Order: sequence, then C-alpha cells, then structure tokens
Amino acid sequence: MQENVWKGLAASDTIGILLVIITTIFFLVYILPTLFSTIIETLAKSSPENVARQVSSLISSSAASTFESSIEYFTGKDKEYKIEIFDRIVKVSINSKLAYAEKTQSKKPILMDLYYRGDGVNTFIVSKKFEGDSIYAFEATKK
Amino acid sequence: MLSRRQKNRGIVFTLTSIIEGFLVILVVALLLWFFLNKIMEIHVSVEENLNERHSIILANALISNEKIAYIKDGKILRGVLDAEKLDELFIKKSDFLSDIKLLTNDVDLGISYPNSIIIVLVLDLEKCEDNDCDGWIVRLKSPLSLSGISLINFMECLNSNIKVDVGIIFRFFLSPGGLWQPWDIDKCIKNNIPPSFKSFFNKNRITSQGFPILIKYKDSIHVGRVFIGLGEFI
Repeated sequence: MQENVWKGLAASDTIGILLVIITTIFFLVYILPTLFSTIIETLAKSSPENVARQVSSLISSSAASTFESSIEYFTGKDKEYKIEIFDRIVKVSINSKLAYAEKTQSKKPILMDLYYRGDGVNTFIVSKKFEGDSIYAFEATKK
Repeated sequence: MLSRRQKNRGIVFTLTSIIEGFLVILVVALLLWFFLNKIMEIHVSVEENLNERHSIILANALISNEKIAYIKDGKILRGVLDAEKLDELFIKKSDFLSDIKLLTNDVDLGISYPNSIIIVLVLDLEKCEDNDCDGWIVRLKSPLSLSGISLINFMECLNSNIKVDVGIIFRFFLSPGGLWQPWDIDKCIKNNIPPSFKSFFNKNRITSQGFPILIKYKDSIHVGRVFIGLGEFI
C-alpha cells in the first residue's frame, strides 16, 4: 500500500518535470522569437542608429541628382528626435526612452557641408538644387 | 514517527524535482544560447561592407559632380566626365609614380566623407595597352571631424555605459575597474571600430568594383570606369 503511494508521488513529479520542459520549449521556440522580432522590428524602425543611417544616406545620395531633388523621410508619429548636422556628421538622439538597451544616439558621416540643429522632430527633408553650383538644404519638422 | 519520515521523504522528492526542473531549463537555455551564438551565423547586412556602400554612394555623387562632369547648356550630363576638367584637377595616371603630388596634395570637389582616405581612379577603357589603361588619379580632400573619429566615439560609448552599483565588486575581475559590463565593452567595440580596420580581419572589400562612365574629349567620347578606394581613420 505504502509503495503505491510513493509510486504515485514519483509519477506526479515526472509529469511536473515534463510540463516544465514542454512549457520552456514552447516559450523558447514560439513566444520568445515573436517577442524578439517585435522588439527588433520596433528598433529597426525607430532607433537613432537607423534614423542616423537613413538620414546620412539620403543626404549623401541627394548629391547624385543632377538638377533638383527633394526627399522626405518620416520616421513615425510616436517618436521624436534631436538632430545635429555639423562637420559632415549627422548626430541623431531619441527623446523618448527605448524599450531595449539600445544606443540613445548615433553619428554617421555625410558627403557635403551642411549645418542644422533641430529638436522634437520626426520628419526630415533633404533637397538639392543645381544653379551653376550645387546647393543643398536640410529641414526637419514634427508631423 | 513513520508519518514524519514520510513527510520528509515528500519534501526531499519535491526539492529534487524542482532542482531537476531548473537543471533541465538551464540545459535547454544553454543549448539555445550555444546554437544562436556559436553555430548559427547571424549577419546584419546593414552593418556589413560599410566602406563598400560609402564607395558606391560617393561614386554615384561623383559622376554627377559639376566639377568633373560634362555640362551642356547648363545641365549636368550624369555619368559623362569632362576630360578637360579631369586634366585640370586630377593627376595623369602615367605621371602617378613620378609625381609626389598625390601623396601631398588633395583635391576638394565639395563632396567626400570626413576622416577618410579617399582615392579616385578614372580609367579610359579605350586607351589601353598590354592590360594597362590610361587615366587619372586623385586623392580627395577629407575634412577632419573630431566628433566623427571612431576612437572618440568609442570613449563616448564607454562613458555612457558606466555602471556604478553593487555588481561592481563582481565585475572588477571581468572588466577594467568593474565599471562596465563585458557586453557593454563588446557593444562599444562592435559599433565603433571603423569598417576599414575591420576589413583587415575579414574578407570585406574596401574598394568598389567601379562604375561605368563616359569620358568626353573635345571631339570624341570614350568608354571608361571610375573606381573609389575608401578607408576610414581609426
């Protein structure tokens, strides 16, 4: 009789361990990747690293246009950034707190001389005109 | 007496199963970590070949640059370089070895990346002899920007990641002074080592394969190619 009780206890332990294993595997295989992909997707869109990279590439690429160009880059209505352009460097800082321990500011090089300083912005406009010489302009606003 | 022994046995069994459960979780987590970090190779494509991408952007800008491109009726002909302007600004490739100017002089075309060494080579593919084509070469002026220097960015990154807490006692043996988590130092190194420096340790190319162009002479147009060699300072 007593042996049966011990067997019952051992069996419930095994079931418990199996449940823990199954839950852990399910979490690691299905839930964790979904969480990570959501975080990474958010970061990819809004991180200062990405915004600095996009803005610097757009400014530099505008030099390739031969006559006139205007490029607008809207990062999203939920985020605000501080942007500084000096010494052929674009420096972008995010005003809101990031969900993950990502860099809060980033610097990227650009091809030409531009000077700009703006805070609380999320839309960047790069424009170029050719009137004998190339003239570049940069603006940032909040949408 | 018997009842207490039974109760104790129950506690022992429960503790054992909890420890076993934790061990299993630990093993699964370790296997996953090992798989993600050591076996599966994750490439972040935007972080790779940065010099290559900068070279492509610069080449695209250069073939539309008014200082070297051919201008007709006030309009820049993209991809058509003016041989007269090249003669004026660049050094003839044939004079390159005898002319020390390439090392000492640089040319300001109004566009270039800061803190970089940039060499531009224009080849005329219709003036070739024994696999050696005639052309022009120049070093572009690259302004020095203190805030863009990787070493300064690295120091700024370290400065922004200083952690002063109880864990400093444990970290003391892992990182300098225990002020940083080992992964913070790793992150700062990964984010701030210039791509040209990284290229010495991997297979990344630092020179683009070149862009097709046309070279406009006074009375003819030749097919050519522009090459950009770009390396960022440390």
